[in-house]
Amino acid sequence: MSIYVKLILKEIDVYNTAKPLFYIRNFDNNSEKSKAEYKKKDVFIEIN
Amino acid sequence: MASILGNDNFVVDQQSHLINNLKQQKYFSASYSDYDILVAIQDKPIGVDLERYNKLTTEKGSLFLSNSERIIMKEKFIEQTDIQGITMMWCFKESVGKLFGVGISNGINVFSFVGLEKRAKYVVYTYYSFMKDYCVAISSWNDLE
Repeated sequence: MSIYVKLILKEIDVYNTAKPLFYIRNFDNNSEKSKAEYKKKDVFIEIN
Repeated sequence: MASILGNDNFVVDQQSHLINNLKQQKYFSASYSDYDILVAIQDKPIGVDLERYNKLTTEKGSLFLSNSERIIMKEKFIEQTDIQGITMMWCFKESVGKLFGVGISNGINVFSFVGLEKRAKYVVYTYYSFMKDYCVAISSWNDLE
């Protein structure tokens, strides 16, 4: 039996939204990283 | 996860499900690629995926994407490269699959995305972002905004 699901796609701007959907945090000290500080290592994303 | 959950002593109860000694429940989903890690926790089921752009080729993409999915990809991601679009479609499938509890490990065609359907009984919200080296997708039954 087929189940039909409507997928609502929403593109999010990780860095520039006034009320971000999620934050990128430093995995070790839990401090929020700015775009400039962000490299590519351990990323921790928290959903509000 | 401990940094979000504090000292409430949550433990993994079953796959993608956390519970503490106060019977409080949380759902989680996680994904990683090389050193990049994505973790999401909320009160309702959730599915996430993170993929680096170097994982897939256009040849592999043609194998796992159906015709309708290729059309969706071309329409949706006109500003992205083929690899970025293919990788994001993979992310969509993985995150939705985790939300459904099926996963691509059960076969990449366990479900497929089709065009506009009038028969949809359920709604899934999928949030996505193209990052520099990878893309992420987060799927939830509820609107996270």
